Amino acid sequence: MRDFRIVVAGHSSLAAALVRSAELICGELRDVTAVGIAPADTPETFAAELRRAIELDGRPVLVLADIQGGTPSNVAAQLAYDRPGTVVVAGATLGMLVEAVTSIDSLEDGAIDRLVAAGREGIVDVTGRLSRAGTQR
Amino acid sequence: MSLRLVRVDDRLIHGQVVAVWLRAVGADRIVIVDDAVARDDFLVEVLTLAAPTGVPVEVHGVATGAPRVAELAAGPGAVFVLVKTPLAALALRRAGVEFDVLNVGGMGSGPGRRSLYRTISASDEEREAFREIEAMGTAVEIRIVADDRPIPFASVDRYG
Repeated sequence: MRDFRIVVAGHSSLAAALVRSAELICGELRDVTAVGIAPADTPETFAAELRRAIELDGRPVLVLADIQGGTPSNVAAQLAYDRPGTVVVAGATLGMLVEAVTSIDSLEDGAIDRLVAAGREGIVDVTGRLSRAGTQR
Repeated sequence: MSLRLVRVDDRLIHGQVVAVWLRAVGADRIVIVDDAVARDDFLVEVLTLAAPTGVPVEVHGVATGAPRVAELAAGPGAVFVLVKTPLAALALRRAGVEFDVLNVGGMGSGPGRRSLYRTISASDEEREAFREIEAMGTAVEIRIVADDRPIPFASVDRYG
């Protein structure tokens, strides 16, 4: 059983779409929250919303932010600074979210390294790996 | 018995979905049994690439697939069998491959098919194949993702 919650943080509707898409693959996701930054948000209003999602209870939280250096990631990093047990990983993909919900039980013991490695391995030059790429079938 | 799952899914290996199922059933090898796919080298390569790293994929037509699956079932490995239609599953069953449950995970709508349960559609011939498979002692269950509650085929089967 997973002992931490997951908060997906992203621009516009990406976070919610990642969660919905992962549910297509894994079934209903428990303890996973999506928070999106809207054009009308300021870093402060977004931070308040993200803080509510992260501080929902005392459990550890994995924040999957959509892009390194973006406001969701930057704000999450600041919130994590004040809350032990909060880990932020940026560059989240659908593959990483599925990996996080299906094969990580705890944020200890190299789990984050494995998650980041799984994300990298999930980026594949598909046609480049196929021997007849670009040729007529 | 080391057939961990026999699944009907017309998308066959679709990356993460299969990865989740492989993990859920503890399988380490994928065998696809489908005549048309076995003849298409390029598609075989695409499907092989879609499988998780380190999981071997074999593709066979029904004629060679049945003895191969039976051989693997008797061996030490944990096998995940994928077919596109119930007809291939029935062919395996008729050829003497035994499995307790047939998982139905993906059958899209198409010519001759009508909805069986939510997004799962089946033609008359395919429904008849399910009935015959059940008559042979294999339970047919609709279960798209591993987390779903299995829906027995018989509970959604309507004649006519």
